[in-house]
Amino acid sequence: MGRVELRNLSKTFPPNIRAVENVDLTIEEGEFVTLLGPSGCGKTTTLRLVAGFEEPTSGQILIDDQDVTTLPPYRRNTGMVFQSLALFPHMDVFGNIAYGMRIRKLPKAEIHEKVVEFLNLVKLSGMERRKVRQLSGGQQQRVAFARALAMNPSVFLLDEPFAALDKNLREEMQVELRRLQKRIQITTIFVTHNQREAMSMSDRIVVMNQGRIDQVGAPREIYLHPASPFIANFIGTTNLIPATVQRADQEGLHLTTPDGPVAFPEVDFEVIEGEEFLISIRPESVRLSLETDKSVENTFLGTVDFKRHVGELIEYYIHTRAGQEIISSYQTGSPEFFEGDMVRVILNGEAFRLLEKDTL
Amino acid sequence: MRRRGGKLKYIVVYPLGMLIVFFLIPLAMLIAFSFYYHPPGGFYEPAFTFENYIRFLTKPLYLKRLAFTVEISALTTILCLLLGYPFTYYLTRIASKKRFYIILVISTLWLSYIIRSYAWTVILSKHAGISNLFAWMGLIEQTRSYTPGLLAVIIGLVYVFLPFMILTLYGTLKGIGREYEEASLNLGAGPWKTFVNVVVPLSKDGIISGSLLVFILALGAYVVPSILGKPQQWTMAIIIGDQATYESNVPFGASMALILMIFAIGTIWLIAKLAGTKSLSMGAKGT
Repeated sequence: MGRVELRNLSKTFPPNIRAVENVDLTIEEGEFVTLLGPSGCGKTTTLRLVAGFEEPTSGQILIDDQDVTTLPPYRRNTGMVFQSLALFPHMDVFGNIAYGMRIRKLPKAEIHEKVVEFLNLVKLSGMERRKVRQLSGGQQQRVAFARALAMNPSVFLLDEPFAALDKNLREEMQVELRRLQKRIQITTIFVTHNQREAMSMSDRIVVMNQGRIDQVGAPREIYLHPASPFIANFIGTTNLIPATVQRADQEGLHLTTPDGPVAFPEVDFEVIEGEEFLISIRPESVRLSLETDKSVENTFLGTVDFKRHVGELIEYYIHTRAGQEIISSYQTGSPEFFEGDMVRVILNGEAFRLLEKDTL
Repeated sequence: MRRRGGKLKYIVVYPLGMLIVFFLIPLAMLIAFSFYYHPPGGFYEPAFTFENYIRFLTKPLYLKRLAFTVEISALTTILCLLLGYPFTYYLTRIASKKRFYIILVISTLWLSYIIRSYAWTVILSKHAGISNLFAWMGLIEQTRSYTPGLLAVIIGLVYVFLPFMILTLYGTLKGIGREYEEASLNLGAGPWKTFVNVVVPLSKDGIISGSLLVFILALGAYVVPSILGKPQQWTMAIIIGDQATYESNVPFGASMALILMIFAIGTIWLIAKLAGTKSLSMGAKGT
């Protein structure tokens, strides 16, 4: 129960806004998939297409191998949590959770049993008669979860439900949601523009940009092997260094950059001499050294320009000789550098990613 | 600080003065006049008599007018709600040129009641009116006049007060976020069940405000029934005006005006009591 398939899905809004373009995606049973991207990338429209609030311009939507493309939302059996939650203000907690079951005219005893069960599941036992307005932000979230799940939907859809929460509550709710999702093993599509949220919750992340899917993969895979400079920048922080192919041989790939030559240990694709790339390297793979006299491979010289503490990390912004900015991050507690220090920037060749320049 | 506070006090003089001059004094006069004595053939003499009230409450003629006024006001209110609600709902949800339609609705208010009522006498007349169209279509055998008459009065009242209903509902319905309906659809309720279970309850405040507004306006209707109605369709306002101007019986007119006012206030109080007091805020309150 709960396999979702999007086949070549497109949605164009009048006059000619291509919100979603040729999206192909299969979400397996019980999987937690996040649609991630900047605002206007089509992630919410994709979710609304699955829920049936929008009609696709072309393409198909299948839920459990049944074509639901033309079905209205009330015949699709999806459970949606809205960004505003949209809890019915004229009903109490019980009324909200029971709504769908009452519409379906289930026996009263059964409805009651279900509401109690789901309130228990979201840790709100005994809150049946509370007014929605009397609940805290986190409690309202949980009621919205319970309401969406009480109908045993095939798919659980969430449209940036945590966007309005403060950081601590958001993280608490992220853990709660993921636990709940694992417990009842429901196929989940989660929409967010927050890459940290996507990284910490998802089985797979679908990175969307300008209505298209840019990359699909497990969070770690996307982080380590971003498919484009856009993704490299959007998922975490990265350094992008322009590079030109000098030669490729058994020893690896030799490139020239504004700050000197670098070598790439192995390449799994054909390159031609003179081809231009962007080297993506994460700040944690950039090391610093105060030994600036002897020349070492894959290193640049520079000055610590700016230093800041980001949570448990220290970030150093290095101004290189050729005028590039390279970011290096260290765990707090490692040997520290100071603004104005002359440093050697050591790039770990194993952590390089070559990205095609024109995709930016 | 003290000086500023002292000056601030004078700002209140303006609204307070307005209230006293234009509302409290006339009301006090009205109350006083309603107890005055009306000598036969004369105007009025200061007195304290219940005669005017007793006359109203003991003569079936006047009680009938009050009953008729209340009935036709209630009917107008219901018709305005039934016609105005779907229209306004459509306007807030589907229509693209919302502002254009709202201006269209408001524009009918730019013409005076009198002109609009006379327009209806033409539309409903025998020779130039809509019955010609009905006859041509074969719906009726002969052209006929609908005015003056009960139907004409109802049409006129609904036409005149419908914009007030629409404008009041508009604010409320526009304030109901689309996602409430989507949440309901998502939970398996079709469009009609969504409308009944979500949209209507969420717009309760607007329904009450709009209905009260139209009901009270209709209670005081004067122009429409006098132009489009026969004497059988005359409302309290016409009877009151008649007493004050043609019969020179201001005390009796004043007492009837007060009775009508008490009736209006009583209705507001009753509905507020039934619906919970917060609903009395006129107009736009979304959720």
